[in-house]
Amino acid sequence: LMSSAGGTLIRQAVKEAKPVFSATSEDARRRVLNLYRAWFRQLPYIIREYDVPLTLPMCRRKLRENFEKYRQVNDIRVIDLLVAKGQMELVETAHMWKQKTHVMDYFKQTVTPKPTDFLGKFFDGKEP
Amino acid sequence: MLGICRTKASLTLQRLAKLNSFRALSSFTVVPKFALPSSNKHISTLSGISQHAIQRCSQWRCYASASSAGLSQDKITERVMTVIKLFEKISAEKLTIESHFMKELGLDSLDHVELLMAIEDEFGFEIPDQDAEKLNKPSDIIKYLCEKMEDRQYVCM
Repeated sequence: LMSSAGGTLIRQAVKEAKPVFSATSEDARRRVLNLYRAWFRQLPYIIREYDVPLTLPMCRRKLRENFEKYRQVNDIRVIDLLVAKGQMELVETAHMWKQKTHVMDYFKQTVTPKPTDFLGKFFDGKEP
Repeated sequence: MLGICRTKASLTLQRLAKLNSFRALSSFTVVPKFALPSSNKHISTLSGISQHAIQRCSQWRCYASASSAGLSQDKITERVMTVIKLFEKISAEKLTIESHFMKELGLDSLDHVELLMAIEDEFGFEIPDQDAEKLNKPSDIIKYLCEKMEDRQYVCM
C-alpha cells in the first residue's frame, strides 16, 4: 500500500505479508490436518511397498513426532511452507520416487546423538 | 488422477487428499462387504476403501433390510462406541456419549483426526473438514451419521 501526499512521494509501506496459501489460521489448520490425514492413510502402503522393517505403530509415532516438532509454530506463512514441504515428501514417497533408505532416514537409526554433558564432549575431543 | 503428476507447490492439499489416489496401483482391491445381520466384524480391516470402491459396492445386491443393516440409531451408536473404545488414547471409564473429546478425554486435534478417520473407515464414507470440526462428542458423531445415512440411503456396508 503506497500513498503519495501532495507532490512529495511519501511512501508508507504497510508491512503486510502476502499470504503463501492460506489467508487465515483456520485455513492453515485445515491444511495441516489434511496433510496428517493423507500421510496417515498412506502409511500402511509405504510399509508394504518399501518393505521397510517397521511396524505401523512405529510409523504412526514417527508421523506424530514430526508433526509435534512444529506444534509451536504460529506464523501462517511458515505453517504453509512446512505443509508444502510435507506434501512434497508425501508425493515423492507415495509415487515410489524414493528408496527404502530414504524412508528409513526418517528414523535416524544410524545417527549417533551428539554428547551434551561434559564427559561426553571430552571423550569426543570437543573443547569446553 | 493427472493432478498427481504435477509437483508444483500450487497443488492443493484438499484436492490430493480427496482424490484418495495414493494407493499402489498394482494393489488396488475392492472387497465387497455385505451387510448381513450376522456379521460381527464391526471394525473395517480395510483402510483403503475409496469412494470409487464404495460406488462400485453399491451396485451389489444387498440381502439385508435397512434396519438390520446397521442403520438404526442403536446400531450406529453401538458401532461408534465400539470404534471409540478401541482407540487406545481414550480410557474406557471416562467415556460416555456426552463426553467432549478435547476437554474431558484429553485428546488433541491430531488425535481427533485419527478418531474421525477410524469412524470414516468403519462407515465407509468421508467426512468433510467443515463437518469434522464440529464433531466433538460421540453424540454429535452419532447424530451426524444418522443424517448422512438417511441422505445417502445407504443400504450396503
